[in-house]
Amino acid sequence: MTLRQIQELYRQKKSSPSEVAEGLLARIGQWEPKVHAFSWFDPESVREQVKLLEKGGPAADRPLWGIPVLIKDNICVQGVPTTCASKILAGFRPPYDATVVERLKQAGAVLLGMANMDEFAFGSSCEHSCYGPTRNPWDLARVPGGSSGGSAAAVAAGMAPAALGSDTGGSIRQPASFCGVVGLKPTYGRISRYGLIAFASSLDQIGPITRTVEDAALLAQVMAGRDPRDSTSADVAVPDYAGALRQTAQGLRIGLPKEYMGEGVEPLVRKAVEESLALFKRLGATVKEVSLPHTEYAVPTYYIVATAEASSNLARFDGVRFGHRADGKTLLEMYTRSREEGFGPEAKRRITLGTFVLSSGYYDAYYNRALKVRTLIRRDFERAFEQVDLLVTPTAPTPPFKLGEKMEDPLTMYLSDILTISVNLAGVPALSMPCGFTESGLPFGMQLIAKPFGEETLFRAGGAYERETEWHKREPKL
Amino acid sequence: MSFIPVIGLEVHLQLKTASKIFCGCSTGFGAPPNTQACPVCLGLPGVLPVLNRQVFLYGVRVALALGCGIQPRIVFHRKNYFYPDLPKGYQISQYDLPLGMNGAVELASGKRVRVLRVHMEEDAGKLLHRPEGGSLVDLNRAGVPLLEIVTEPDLENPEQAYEYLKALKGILEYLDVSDCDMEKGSLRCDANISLKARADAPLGTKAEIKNLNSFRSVARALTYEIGRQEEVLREGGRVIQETRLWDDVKGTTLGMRSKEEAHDYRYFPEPDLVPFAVAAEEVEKAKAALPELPRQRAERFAREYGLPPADAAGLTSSRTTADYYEACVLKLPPAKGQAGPKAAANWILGDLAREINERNLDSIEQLSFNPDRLVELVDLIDSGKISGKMAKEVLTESLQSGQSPRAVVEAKGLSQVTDPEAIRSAARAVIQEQPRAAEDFRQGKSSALMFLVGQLMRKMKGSASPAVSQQVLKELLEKQ
Repeated sequence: MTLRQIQELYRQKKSSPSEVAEGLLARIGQWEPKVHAFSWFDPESVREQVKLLEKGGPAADRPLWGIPVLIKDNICVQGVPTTCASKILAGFRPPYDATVVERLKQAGAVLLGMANMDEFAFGSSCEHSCYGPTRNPWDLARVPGGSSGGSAAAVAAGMAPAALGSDTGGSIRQPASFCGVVGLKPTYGRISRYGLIAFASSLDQIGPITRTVEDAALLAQVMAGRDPRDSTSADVAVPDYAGALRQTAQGLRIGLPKEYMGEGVEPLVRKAVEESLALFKRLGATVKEVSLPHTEYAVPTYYIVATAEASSNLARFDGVRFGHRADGKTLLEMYTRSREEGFGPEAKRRITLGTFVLSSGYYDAYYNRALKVRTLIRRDFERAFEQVDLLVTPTAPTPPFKLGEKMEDPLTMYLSDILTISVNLAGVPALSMPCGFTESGLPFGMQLIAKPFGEETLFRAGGAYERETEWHKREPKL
Repeated sequence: MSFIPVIGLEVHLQLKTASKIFCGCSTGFGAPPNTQACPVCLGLPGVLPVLNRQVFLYGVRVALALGCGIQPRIVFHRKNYFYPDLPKGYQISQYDLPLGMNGAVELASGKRVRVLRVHMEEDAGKLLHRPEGGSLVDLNRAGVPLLEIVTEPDLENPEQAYEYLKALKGILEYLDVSDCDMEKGSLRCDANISLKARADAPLGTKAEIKNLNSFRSVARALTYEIGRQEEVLREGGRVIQETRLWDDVKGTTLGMRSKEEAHDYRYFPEPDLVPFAVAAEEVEKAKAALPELPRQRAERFAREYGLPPADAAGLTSSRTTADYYEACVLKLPPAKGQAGPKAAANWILGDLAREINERNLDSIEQLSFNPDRLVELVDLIDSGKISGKMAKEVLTESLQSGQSPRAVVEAKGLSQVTDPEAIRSAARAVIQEQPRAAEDFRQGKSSALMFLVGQLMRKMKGSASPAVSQQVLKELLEKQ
């Protein structure tokens, strides 16, 4: 069910939050043993929240009244284990809510639980988790994508009507593509990061993962806007996203960046994007080829900037104040053993990489140069958006791959984010939505990219496409 | 062969903002451990810093008062290192773009000490090492705003270092941005010192001295360190670059771990704080709003109160002293011209300064002798009620008993005798007892008269007015 459908049932008094919740709990009972999308889940907590909400009743200022939302395990929920799927945060229960969680609660949402992920959001397959991997509901032998794999898989399997993810280099969009759902990476600064356990502070954004573009807009509406606790959150008015959804694609200028349709992209995916563009044309949009010439530098630039920030952000996990602490005869021994035991291999790899690129003697050659390239990548987008309103690309080069397929080769794994990374470096908003299936029934998505604070354009185009297609109506079978 | 010391100082100044630099917690001193520590102070996962604007404003004020240029774009950096008192594993500080650069402090001696940089950063927490082993962490101090003020290596000896710190503290007091209290750690100083053989020789290897808890210990530690490094070099050794801790009791410095394997702090721009521009008008406005600083105030004191420059400088180097002085001058009866202001200055720079020293006090405020009392004392002398000598006694008594000078005079019957009749009989006795001096005076040796006045004062236990005594003696001697 979509959020809109649930709201409609509530409005017509055909169903109640407890009925919806019980339905989901039953569905979770069926699917979760196979998919393993949750890192924490407590049916009683869900029932308690629902009871309180029903007592209060619906209200105009509670647009998400009775709507269950799953939270990614790196977004702090007061009193609930929030662990980034890492052993080093074992037992950590934040004493505070992330701003987005606070806003969801105020809007009347029900927190369904915490979603599995790649440890600290380091990964593209949801295999790097201390809780074990999450599986793709469309094919249990395949990965759901990552790092927000638990969130996307849960939505795809109907265990949650909506979920929150975080996106640093594609972590919302790539799993959305792999699971056949919608994922929005908002403009950097559009949604507060307060309470999001940082991976790379200058790239991270929280966003919704839903079944439809309409639902994504609904959640974004509640979460977007300036937060005084996050200096990087922008003081830019939040427009009416529902209004944008109702607009047509008539007159929309769409660009197809040629660098995004190259050889690495599977022909099937390329073809689906081309067909989608043809549909947009039929809906009154114009399409032209554009160029983002610095695209080839995005992956190395990203892996310098992101790991540099991560190496610093993860320094606080030292065993002193919270999380896992190992014994040690000296302070240094306590530090090294706590971190050795607490972090998984991918986290260690990224901390090492980030520490290296910031080291004296290497800073200019790596980090500083990466910052310069990042500026060039941002300018690529600025130039493109002088000519068009929207860019359309594949979200990922391939449909979902098999579990274990890329675990032995981190570089190949890094390349699965090649089409999503530039967006984070440029700080622009992007949405992934389903645009096709393989013959064997594996979903894949396309990516819509707009200029900063152009979420309206994404909803307008995405909404128009959604009304004309049926991809989002397919459901996986157990 | 003697060596030339090269000294630079780093001062860390805690700003007296109500809340911390990146969160809303109180900066109050002395609260129970970890009671002023929110998730931001604790560096909990997911929290973010938000700059306290007052810290920036105070920082600009200090930088401008030290003659620094203000950075047009404010950027914070992360300084990465592990330590249990540093909750995030990095300190938010400033790096290659400090708030202020290239200022100077001019010392009374005329020496100009260049200030390399002034930058904003957060303080770390405190560790409590337990005697039975283990350490406790108190994060109340984590996130208290600091300004770091770094000089060029311009100081040539420990005395200059001391003088610079006094002058700097004087300026900072005027700016009203910090308690400047070394005991509470709101003003801390580290010293860098190296020796070189000749003035034109390159800089030698430096040692950084920490744990300096007073301006005096800075000077003492530098003196010790100069001696130590000289000895090392004389014996053909090599000074090691290291941090040394000053032991105030033993009067020595002791090497901590060597800095040969220097820390790599991996500075990079803090992504959680957005860089911001400082408008030129904003700087001009801050400049215009600067209070009168010690140098300007000294010039004004010299001009308005007719004080010698040395007096004016002495009175204004500390804001509390200058305020005290100015309060006195305003209370003095106006008819006295410049004698009153000068007398008040003499008392403050002389007897009161000595009393402060003897009592180991930090400032004139702590002496239980407010401006009203000093005015009273000056007035008692001026109106002939007591002599200057008696006044010193009155001061001592007043400080001890807490009574006002007038009350002391009355209680002790110290009032000066100015009636010639009351003095005459004692004067006669003195002349009889000192025939030689009397004869000398009659022979035209005028200095003999002063001797006789002294004897008379002694006989009357200081209660006689010196002027009247002199007059009475002269009359008697000339009559005989």
